Amino acid sequence: MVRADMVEAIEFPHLANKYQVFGVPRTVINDKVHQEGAVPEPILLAKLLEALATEAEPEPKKPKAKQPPKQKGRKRTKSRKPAAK
Amino acid sequence: MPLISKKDADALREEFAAQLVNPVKLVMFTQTIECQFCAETRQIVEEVAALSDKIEPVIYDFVTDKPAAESYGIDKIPAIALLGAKDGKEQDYGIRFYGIPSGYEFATVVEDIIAVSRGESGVKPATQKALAGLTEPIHIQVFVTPT
Repeated sequence: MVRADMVEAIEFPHLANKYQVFGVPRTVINDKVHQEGAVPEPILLAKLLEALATEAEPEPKKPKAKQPPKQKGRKRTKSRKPAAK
Repeated sequence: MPLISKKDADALREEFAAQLVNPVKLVMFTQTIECQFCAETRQIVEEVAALSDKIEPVIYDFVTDKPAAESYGIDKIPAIALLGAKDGKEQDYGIRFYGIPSGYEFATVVEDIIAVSRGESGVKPATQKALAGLTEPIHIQVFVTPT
């Protein structure tokens, strides 16, 4: 019942982006509950149960949570002022 | 050139000899024209497998061996599925590595091989109890970087 994947973030940037991985380790449970950092087991367990609880809700499937686009940490183009003449 | 140094190989050989119980399969998915880290990941799998006769490497091509990829739920490469055995039957504990397991993650692979071989998760009894009656699947993805 439990699938556990290690995902190397640099090789799968589309996934790192999708799950907003800006720091590692970042744990994603059932695509919706997130945990940053290495946490003690009971905390991880609580997160697993939280993911299951959200699952159980008879909520209709949303295509994708429409959140306001967050400032992505990787975009840092044009932060510099144009060079003086 | 080997990716695992002779010193590490010797230490691992000893560790595996002392710890491994049941056979472990390292099922690795790559492709003919190997992706950036596919070749290195395959090399790691083969080198690790050479350190114990209880570890068997199985290499599949992600494209031409699609049914195998599907049966192990592999959707990206390089991938390693860690499979154990119980009473002579293949036992899938749901452990997958996507991307190269280098740096600290190499230690994770070694630990997982031992855990799978022994059939011991190392998880606390309270956690085991809480998860024993699972009716819904859980998919955990841990994002890491090679350090």
